[in-house]
Amino acid sequence: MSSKQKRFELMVGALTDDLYRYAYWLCRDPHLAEDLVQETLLRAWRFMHQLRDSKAVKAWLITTLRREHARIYERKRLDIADVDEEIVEDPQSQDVLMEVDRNKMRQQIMALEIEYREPLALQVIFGYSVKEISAALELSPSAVMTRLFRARKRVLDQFGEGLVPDELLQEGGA
Amino acid sequence: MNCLDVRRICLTEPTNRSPRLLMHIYSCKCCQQYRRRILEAEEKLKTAMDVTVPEGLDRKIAFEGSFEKPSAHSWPRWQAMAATVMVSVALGVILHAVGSKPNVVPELARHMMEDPLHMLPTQTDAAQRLAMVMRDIGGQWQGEYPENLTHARLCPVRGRASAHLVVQGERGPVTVFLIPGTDARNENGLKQAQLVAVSDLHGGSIALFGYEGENLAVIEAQFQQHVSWKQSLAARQEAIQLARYR
Repeated sequence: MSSKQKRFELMVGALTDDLYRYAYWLCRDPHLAEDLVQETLLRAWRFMHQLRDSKAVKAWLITTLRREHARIYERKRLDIADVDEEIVEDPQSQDVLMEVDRNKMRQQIMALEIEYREPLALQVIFGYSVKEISAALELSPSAVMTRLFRARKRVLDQFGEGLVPDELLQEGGA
Repeated sequence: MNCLDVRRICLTEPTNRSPRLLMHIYSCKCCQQYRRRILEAEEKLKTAMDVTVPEGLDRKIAFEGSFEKPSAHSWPRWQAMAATVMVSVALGVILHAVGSKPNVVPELARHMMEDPLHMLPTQTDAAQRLAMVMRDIGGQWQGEYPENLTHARLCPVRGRASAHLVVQGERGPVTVFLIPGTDARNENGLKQAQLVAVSDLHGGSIALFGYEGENLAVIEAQFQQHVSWKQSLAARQEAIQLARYR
């Protein structure tokens, strides 16, 4: 196995799962998410000679996946998915969170517009900071903070009583 | 920094651990309580977003990549099949002839050196992460999660998704790698400041790195007792092949 192929396999092993989760929350379709991840990683394989800096690889993959998603979305003019139908049952983690709560929360996340869903996914799945999200989405840090704040507010309002009061947003911070 | 600032940060970057933020939180009970609630909510959010990845997706993609040249030329399926058989046979012959594998210990040691921060007990959700990591490597943790676990994540070892864990031992942090479907026994190589033990783990391997004086056998026993593999390697590979040609 060539060193290039070895690097590729290491990258695939390390990043496929998070990329899939990110793609899933981007497009809300498990089959399309799989295609997006596959296309993104195979594109990375074609450009492996350019991907020398291991730290930059993740950012490159995220950018490529976003572009591929935008391209597919534009080409197919996908309809907005029906939230209830698109929730994927996940019986494996029943013991981690009560099934009902988890599915409710998933529905809340699904119902977010992409501008809120995407920074939330980057932060929760990849552990990105506001600064990193701001670079990935080409937005100002304050715009990212506002979107993260609103995303959490809409999702958590259903679960945490008074956890996200409006004053926090209104008084100029996020 | 006042309470309002703290709450804004908690909501936009719940895992932020800046000294100014922490200093305020330690001195303000209301903010402590608020942060605890936010972190609990964040755990639920993480779990909700942790959708199940299709089984063998990574292998399927690596497999696809192995038949695609950088020029994006893709082979007809029958050629790919034929090539798979040839590569498998050739690899089998080579492995049989060589009769030994590269030592896994230096690879793991390098991996640890590249990311020393994992030794710090920074994950508050290590037990939940362990569940996810175990699932992703095709295994499961049976019974109570270890209280001494401080870090759990997925890492590639020999190109295989493996668990990279840290538990607190008697002498300090002990790094544990769980490598599915790999027999790495009798592979040693690091004998300086750290103790190393590599053993069989129900058909996979477990490698432990601890400070001198640490009783690694006790920690290993903990893992031997609780870890099991859901699928054999052969079954996983078969699933990948099926996924590839479905």
